[in-house]
Amino acid sequence: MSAQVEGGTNVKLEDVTAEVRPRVPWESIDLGCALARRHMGSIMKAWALTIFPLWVLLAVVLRNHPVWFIVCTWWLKPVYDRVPMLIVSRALFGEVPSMKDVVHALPKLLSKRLWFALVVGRFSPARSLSLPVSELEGLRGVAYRQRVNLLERNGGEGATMATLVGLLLEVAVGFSMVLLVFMMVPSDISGRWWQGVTEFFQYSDVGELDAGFYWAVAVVRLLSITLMEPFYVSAGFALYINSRTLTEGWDIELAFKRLGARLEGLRNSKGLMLMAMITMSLGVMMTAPVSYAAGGETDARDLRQTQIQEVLADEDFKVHHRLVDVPVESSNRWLEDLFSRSDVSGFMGVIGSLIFYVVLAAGIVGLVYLVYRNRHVFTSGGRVLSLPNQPKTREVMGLNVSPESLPDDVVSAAREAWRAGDSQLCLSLLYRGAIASLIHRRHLPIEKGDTEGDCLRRVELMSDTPFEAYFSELTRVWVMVAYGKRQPDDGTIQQLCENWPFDQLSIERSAG
Amino acid sequence: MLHGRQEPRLDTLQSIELAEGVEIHLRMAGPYVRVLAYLLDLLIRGGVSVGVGLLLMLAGAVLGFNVATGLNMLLTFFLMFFYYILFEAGKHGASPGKRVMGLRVVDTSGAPISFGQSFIRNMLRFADGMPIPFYGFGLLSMLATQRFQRLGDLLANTVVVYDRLPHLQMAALPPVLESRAPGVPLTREEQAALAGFRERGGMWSEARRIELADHASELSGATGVTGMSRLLGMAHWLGEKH
Repeated sequence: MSAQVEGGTNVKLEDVTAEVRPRVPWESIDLGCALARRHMGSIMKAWALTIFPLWVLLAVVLRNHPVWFIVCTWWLKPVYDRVPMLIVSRALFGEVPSMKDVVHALPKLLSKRLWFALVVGRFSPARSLSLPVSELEGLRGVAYRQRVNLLERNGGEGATMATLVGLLLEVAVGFSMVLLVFMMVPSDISGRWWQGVTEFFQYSDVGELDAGFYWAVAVVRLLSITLMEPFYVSAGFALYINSRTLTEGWDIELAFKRLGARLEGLRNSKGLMLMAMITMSLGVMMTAPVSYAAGGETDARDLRQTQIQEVLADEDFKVHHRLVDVPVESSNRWLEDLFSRSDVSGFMGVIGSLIFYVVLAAGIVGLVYLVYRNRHVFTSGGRVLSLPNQPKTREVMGLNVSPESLPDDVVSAAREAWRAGDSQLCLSLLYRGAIASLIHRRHLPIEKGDTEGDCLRRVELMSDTPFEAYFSELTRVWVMVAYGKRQPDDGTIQQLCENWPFDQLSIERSAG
Repeated sequence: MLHGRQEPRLDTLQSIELAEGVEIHLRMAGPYVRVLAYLLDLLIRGGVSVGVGLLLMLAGAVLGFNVATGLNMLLTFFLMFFYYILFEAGKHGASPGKRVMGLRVVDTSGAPISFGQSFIRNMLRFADGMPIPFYGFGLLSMLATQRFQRLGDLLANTVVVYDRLPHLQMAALPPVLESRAPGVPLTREEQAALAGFRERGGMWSEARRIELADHASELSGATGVTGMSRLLGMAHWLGEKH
């Protein structure tokens, strides 16, 4: 901890009198207010000892220039701030400085680094936060600037807000005091005063105004500074503490130091206890008869055992047991209930079980019906290629592919056509038969607008490879015959007829 | 060696014991933040008053001048007396200005305030506001009481508290490999310090962390990096469920 408090007596950091923990800026300001309130008595005493004489001195020097007096007393605020700062910073560590300390510290307090405080630092909006850096840490120059920049990262905006609101509060206090006095004095006097106030705003040349008015303003200003400045300074100090807590874990440092001190104390007191025990047992051994000393250890052990037994015999140590039968929740409990219905007697039971069986039977019948209606799911190996109710395509590329238009045995009809020399008819039969079989037996979703290429692609997408090879060959020959008007040779037709992989269409036709 | 403190450490918290021994803390809001909330409310009320007043003047052409003036006076009356009462008795327990500043009014027990309490606390604004409109009495009362209560708060038994959780920038250290039980029983405060060391350790340099850990070398039994990692292990152990 680098806080070198002025007049540095030995400050115990562990004895911090306020709770140091990470806070938001507003809460730090509140803590500052609480600090100032607790030590308001000391602050006011110190203020009366140090700042009032200063004001009196100034008033005597500037007795003919009340306006300058107001300006000077306002400008010197950073000097006043050092007094509450001294009290509050020391009080935080459990050591409120006595008035003697304050008087001792006074010369240094009022003279130290005046130039810096009154010129460089006077108009910093976060003045309250940077004050402890110069006052308590005693930093200056580049080190001061760096330190302030670092600390302002956590709470700089809070300090600015404190300055703004502090200004408002000071003004409010001043006006409150004035109005309060106006309310208290008889109305004819206050009426005259009002006149004076309105005159102030009417005069074009303020120099002509009565000096008494300025002195009254000065007194009100000084009183409101006296009341509010300690709170403002404390708020800044609390922000400084909070900033150090956030930026360098100051609260942790304090807590760890306290912990260290406690453990050290614990160790020392343990040592003391051990010493005491050793001396005591030595004393016992010296005074006790030798025989007792010899059997002492076993006696002590017996005693300990009996004592332990006694303690354990107490009602508090008795272990109570209670066995509770918890019904086991089983998943087929309703079935067990169903078959052990014999114990449910009476009309209601009979009716209930009757209704149950009826519902059960209805459920089973419904299930069977559903399975029957959807049996195609099982026949097509679980794959629903097209819905059964959807009308099947009856025409593809202008070819009639309905089962009615084809003979039962497509292959033998094709052979006959080939023998008769009508290759067009032969291949037409084979091609249409293949497509009809794919549509009706394999539920291949071939549509009316599909071309030969589309059909081939659909067949390729099926996983049954024999169809694919055959159908691709068939398509090739069909296209050659139908569009190219070329005659296929005998072997090709024989092969196509022999390798025909498709199912018969007869059943479908009778169904249709 | 161990000396008890005469008085508890100064704090802006008020702890309240609820049923079942549960302890909660109310975070009291002081005069500085409340002044800002008041000014915001003043702005809002002024804005509403001016805006609606202008609209009423326009409407006066249709409704008649007297009706518009009457409505305007009603509005002023409402803003003056019931703005605070209704908002603070409402769901959020705070006027819009207070809400912006993250404040709310609660009973000293921490419960939401009733309509009656809201009524009393805000009617007393006329006493707190004395000398009107500078709130001299209210400010004095807030500075002098431990829970920053103005006269209306004292009479209605209410306090103004921070409603939102503090949003503080924290950076935790990475979890340690070994969890380690502390050699001695630790107080609540010491446990909190260990946990804080781990949760906020990422904010500080390694040198600073070691410096901090060295203060607790009595607990860790080592200094330097070893001591620090032991402390972090203990913090981890405390964080686990036991």
